[in-house]
Amino acid sequence: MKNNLKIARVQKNLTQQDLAERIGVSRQTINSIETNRYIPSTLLALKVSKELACKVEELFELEQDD
Amino acid sequence: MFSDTTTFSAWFPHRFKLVGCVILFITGVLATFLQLGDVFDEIVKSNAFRSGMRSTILIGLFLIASSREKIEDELVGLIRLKSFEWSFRWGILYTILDLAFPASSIELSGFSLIFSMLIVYLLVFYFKKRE
Repeated sequence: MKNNLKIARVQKNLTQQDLAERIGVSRQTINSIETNRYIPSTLLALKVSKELACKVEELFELEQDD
Repeated sequence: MFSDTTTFSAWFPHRFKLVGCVILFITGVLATFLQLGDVFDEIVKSNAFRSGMRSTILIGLFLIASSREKIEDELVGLIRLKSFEWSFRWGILYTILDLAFPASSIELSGFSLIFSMLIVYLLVFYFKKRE
């Protein structure tokens, strides 16, 4: 799964720590999602997209082999 | 109810991790101190002492393993689940090895099995958390 979380976060001028605090997770979790080491749950994906004011599909995209 | 955020949760608040460490530290100091002098030989070799030591070690490790992290989110829950999986696999392997080599010097007891499973759990947990 491809994700555009880092781009969306930087566009909003937020650090990983800022975003993590706003949605109640650790900075490591945000970092793991951005580096594609962790695929978030639906709940967390929705929280992130709400915080970044964009659609979930804009943040996460299925790839050919998914 | 199950959801995609159902992972593996810790039982105790974060501060219990420190309690577990203190229990292990006191047990270690006490065991070392009592084994230094011959005066306490009878106590050290008694079954009651050994059982007490083993129990406190297990309680200490269990408290550390089952305490929440400062931020207990779904990634930590998933890491807990993975660590538990590895710990369980180790427990199976340990038991099979013990059954396969009954004459081995390692005596399988409830303590050694659970102790090693807790150690594997903690090692995998902290290794995966740092990844």
